[in-house]
Amino acid sequence: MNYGWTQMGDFVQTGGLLGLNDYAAQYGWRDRLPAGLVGMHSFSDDGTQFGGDQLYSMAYSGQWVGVYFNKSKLEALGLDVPSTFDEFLAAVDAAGAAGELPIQAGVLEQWPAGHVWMTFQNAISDPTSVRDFIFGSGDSFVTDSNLEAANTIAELGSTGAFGENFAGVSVDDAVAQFAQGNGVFFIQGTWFSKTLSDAMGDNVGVFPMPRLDEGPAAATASPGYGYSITAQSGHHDLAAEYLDFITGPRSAEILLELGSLPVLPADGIEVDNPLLADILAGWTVLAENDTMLPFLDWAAPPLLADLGAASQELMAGRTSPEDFLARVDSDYQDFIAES
Amino acid sequence: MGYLYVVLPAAFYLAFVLWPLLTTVRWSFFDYDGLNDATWVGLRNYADLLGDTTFRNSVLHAVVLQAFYAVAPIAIGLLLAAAITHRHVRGVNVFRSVLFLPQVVAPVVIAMIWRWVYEPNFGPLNTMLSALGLDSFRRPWLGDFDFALPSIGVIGTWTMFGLCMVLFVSGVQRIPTSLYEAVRLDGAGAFRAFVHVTLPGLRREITVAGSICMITGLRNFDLVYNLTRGGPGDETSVPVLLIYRKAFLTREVGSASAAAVLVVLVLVTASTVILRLREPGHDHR
Repeated sequence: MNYGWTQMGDFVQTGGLLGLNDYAAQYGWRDRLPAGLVGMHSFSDDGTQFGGDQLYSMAYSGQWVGVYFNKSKLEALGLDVPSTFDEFLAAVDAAGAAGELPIQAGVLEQWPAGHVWMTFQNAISDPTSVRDFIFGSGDSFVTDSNLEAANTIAELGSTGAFGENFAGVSVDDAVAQFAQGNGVFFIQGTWFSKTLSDAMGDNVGVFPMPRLDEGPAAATASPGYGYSITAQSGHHDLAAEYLDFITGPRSAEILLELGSLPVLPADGIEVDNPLLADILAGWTVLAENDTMLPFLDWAAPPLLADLGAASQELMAGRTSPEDFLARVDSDYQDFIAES
Repeated sequence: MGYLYVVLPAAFYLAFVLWPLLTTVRWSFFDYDGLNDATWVGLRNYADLLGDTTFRNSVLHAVVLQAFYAVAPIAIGLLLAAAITHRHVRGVNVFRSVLFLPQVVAPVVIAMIWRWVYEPNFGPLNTMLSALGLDSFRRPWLGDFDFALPSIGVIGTWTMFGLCMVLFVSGVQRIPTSLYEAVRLDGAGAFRAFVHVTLPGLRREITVAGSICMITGLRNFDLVYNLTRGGPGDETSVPVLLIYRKAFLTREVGSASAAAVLVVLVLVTASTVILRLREPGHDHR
């Protein structure tokens, strides 16, 4: 079950999903989710308000969008892992000057471009406003901080930080090319970590994009697909027991053994794989600071296609930052007005 | 008794073709999100579509693609047919099979192959351009805002020209050679023979090829979806892609149905026109 208005909202409205608040109280599920994620699983009972009071799904894995980096290339440039937003931009400049591809990107499928946008938006705009927007606050998308984020991306695009061909490269090819040593940074989700870790071993790490205002990092983060119980099922208790099992501590242990990120906050767990360690560390930081932000295209159905397309245009300099913001805002406001 | 044999296919046709078609037409008059109740809106979906810039642009793109899917393959097919008939070409059957292959390969596979061909950093096309010293011609093809649509068009041409060629080659073989002798006697060269004997003689084959190519060009969802998702931006969006998006992503099933009905109307009209052209003014046979 995908979140927000991509799928869950519709099913709640038709009464197809069982509300899980009672089971959550019984099994203590809310303790298993970092605070910021509870809202992603929730809707109001009538299905009109994303992030409402009723829990509708549980998930066992987590994911977040961060900045992968090639360790040996950073070293060769004489740089430390960026700990501030300005350091990141400086690293991008240095990489470009040294003839490296600063940011690997492959946005042929359009949706990866949306992730690039989200990463910069989350680093510059206020996390609470971003979250409220996605949960249906109806606020305008055209804000000064969003404009700054759009300007940053436009500038990176025009100075060649993404390279020349990114619009024609598929994200899978981008992953492969980054793994082969093309690119100092790569902005994408932790779902590619296994591929990168297998290919690059110790040479790859990941960090959440540091914030411009030097506050705690905020990143697009979510559970993996959520599991809901159909209202028509005749075995609600059994289904709940199963949900409890797959989202419980033993399941989290197994996930870690397999190299995946469990949604349970990880306290002091040791892992050998350095990339997985980075992923866990980033997840913990986001959980502790409650800065896990949903995917922007959950905010309104048209954004599922439009956000990627518009972000592609922004990165390629085919649309101005102002027009980009206006397009997303108009899709969002139309949807809010209808519902 | 004969009707019994028809019952099964008829039932299949009714269930999987007629029923969905009629349901689509019905849904096109409603505001329907696919899950909840539908509201009657009459012709509003159609009016909105015809006034929607995104939809109109997608129609424009589809028209441009027709040049690649229909006009070019027919032209190439005619040229090839003229070249290899009435001449002994060694291994002509091998050529015919190979050139026809794109027709039997699944569209998704075609998409994967061409995605690799067009890959900007390591793909064969850009690599070959560099090897020929034409570095300035390198492009991020499927991600290039100007060349993405023609890039997809080229795939369409590649897919269809084999079919056209096969149709025309077999069609030319049915034209009596006495006609060619007659025009030669009248002093016509190869070109005039082509225009005055071959082309009219191939009228039927050209209309068949035209219909198939046109329909394929309007039904290229799998290619566009797998290669560009309609991008970069909206440069390769086509009506069938919008139908998919509206039906499954933005929950505008009524609008998607209206768009589908419009596409079907265009296809039926165009096919009728093409079939009219088929009626020969003077039949040599």
